[in-house]
Amino acid sequence: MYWVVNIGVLLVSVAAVGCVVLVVYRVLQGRSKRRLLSRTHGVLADSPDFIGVSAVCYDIESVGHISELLDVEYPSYELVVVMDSRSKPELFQEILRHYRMMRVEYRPLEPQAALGVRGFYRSERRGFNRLTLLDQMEVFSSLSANAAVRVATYDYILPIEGRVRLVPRAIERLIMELSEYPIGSIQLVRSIVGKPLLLYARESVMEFGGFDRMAWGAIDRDAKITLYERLFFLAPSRHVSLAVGACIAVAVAGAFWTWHWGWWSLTLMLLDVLLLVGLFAWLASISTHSASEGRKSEFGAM
Amino acid sequence: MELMGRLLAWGVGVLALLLLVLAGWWGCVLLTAPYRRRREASVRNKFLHSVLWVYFSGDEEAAGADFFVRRGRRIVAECIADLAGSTVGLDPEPIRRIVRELGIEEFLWRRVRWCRSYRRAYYLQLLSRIPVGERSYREAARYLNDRNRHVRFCAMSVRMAFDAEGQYAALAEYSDKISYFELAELVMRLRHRGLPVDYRTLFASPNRNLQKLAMGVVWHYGLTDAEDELVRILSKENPEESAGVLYILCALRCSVAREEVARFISEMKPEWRKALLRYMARQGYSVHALRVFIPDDERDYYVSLVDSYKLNVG
Repeated sequence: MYWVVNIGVLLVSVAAVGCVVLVVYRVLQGRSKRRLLSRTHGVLADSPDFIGVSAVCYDIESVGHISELLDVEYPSYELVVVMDSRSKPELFQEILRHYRMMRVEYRPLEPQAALGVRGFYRSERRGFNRLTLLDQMEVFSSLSANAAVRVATYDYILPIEGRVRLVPRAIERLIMELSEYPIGSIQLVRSIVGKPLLLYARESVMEFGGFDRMAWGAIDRDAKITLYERLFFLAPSRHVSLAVGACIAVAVAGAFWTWHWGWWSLTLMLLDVLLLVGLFAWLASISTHSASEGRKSEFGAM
Repeated sequence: MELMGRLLAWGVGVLALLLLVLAGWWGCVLLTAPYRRRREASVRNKFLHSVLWVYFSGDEEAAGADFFVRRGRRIVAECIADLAGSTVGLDPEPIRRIVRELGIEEFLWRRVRWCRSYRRAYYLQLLSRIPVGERSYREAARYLNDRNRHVRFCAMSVRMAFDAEGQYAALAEYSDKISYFELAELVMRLRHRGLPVDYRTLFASPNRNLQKLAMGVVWHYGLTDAEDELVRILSKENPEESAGVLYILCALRCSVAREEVARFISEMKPEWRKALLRYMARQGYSVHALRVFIPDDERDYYVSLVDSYKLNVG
């Protein structure tokens, strides 16, 4: 019985090492690709504007958050903010005031009342014509996606949750990836590093009947792309950093202690934990780095 | 039992070593990153000053060649590539002299041979942006069949960059179908070099890559007189190019009521047509432009798009 457990521990270790090596390799490949594409300016200035992205944002936190999400150089991009004016009246009014938004008439084919939509707002200022505010009852939040997708202008939808920020030039990176394939052939793009990102083809969302029903496995292999790059990031949280630090300290101390007493299988398990936590910390650190570097680099290098 | 103990001890040793190596590597990267960035920025600035001095003073040589060779030819190569990529009609002669003097071309080819995948493509991309000799043209041919698509494209770009006269021949030899991403890159390079482009000859070619380049040129410069050539490409056999042609026709605000175009739109897959309708609405086509050849429900959809706030505000 004892040796069965030991073999199990060894197999888990081999799997953990394999997983870490694969992820590190993929992430480094992703970085090399990003470096290559950072010197490719053509897609921003000279590509036909067929491919566009509509970012749909829920649970917006502040006006500053909207400004950050609007700060994208690629022209075929828009931001649809979905919020309930009654649950956050102050923030709603602040957004209306800050962007000088006015209520506009919009009569899509589907009855809006069924989706809980109270109104649409657009800015009077030309500089903010990429922003749309959708006032929707919170009880219809599960249907927010549908309402927002109907409002969106472009063929790819990027849902963004409240606290999430976009890494600089993330949209441009997605556009570069999409424009490597024939128009409309890609249905889903995901980035599995860090906070997961999912970019949906609008027609596929409508066909499946919502974001949540669009399972990764249900889509053809040629119609989906996986990126090993961080495109979203969460503002660094002190609690998470402390938790990761504590995990590493406990695992190191535990590994020494068990090694001292000759409990090899336990040492091995703790080293596995250390390896996986280290991988998590590494991925978090490269995302924070890329976010802070942003556009400081010369000549727009990413 | 003893064997198992040894196996576990070996496992612990290997894992601990791996952890130490990874942690050490990460620590080194974190510690040296600020220094490396400062150093690169400083070399970059000095080199740019030196190049600008060559351009404005008319001197033959860039000052401090040894300094740049010592401090990193990669940074210098990146700098030259960026300079060439962000200026139009720059006299290539001074840069050619600097490249020769600092041995940039040999350095980049060494890197190309050593690296793989995207890193190899990166160095080939740098080579494609600097003035290179015939040797580069010959060596680039080796990478036209690389496993990585980006490497193949960058190798083809090196060949195009060497010979302005034969650049279309290099593109015609390229075995992959160029993507819109690559097309954008090619159009940008043509614009930077300021060379005349005869798009009619490109359209007349049976090669699809050349036809696609012509499409890119027509779209980029808004050449409405290429409407007939664009319509000629429309066919069911190549739906991908045809979809691109439709978008370009719409971007040029050409009539979609022409028989060939109308027929193609009516035979398109509904989801593709819906995407096209959204694009047409953005381009400002009226409802009347489509009245004839799309189903009623899609026409209603188009009416809702045209009537939407998005065209009335902003």
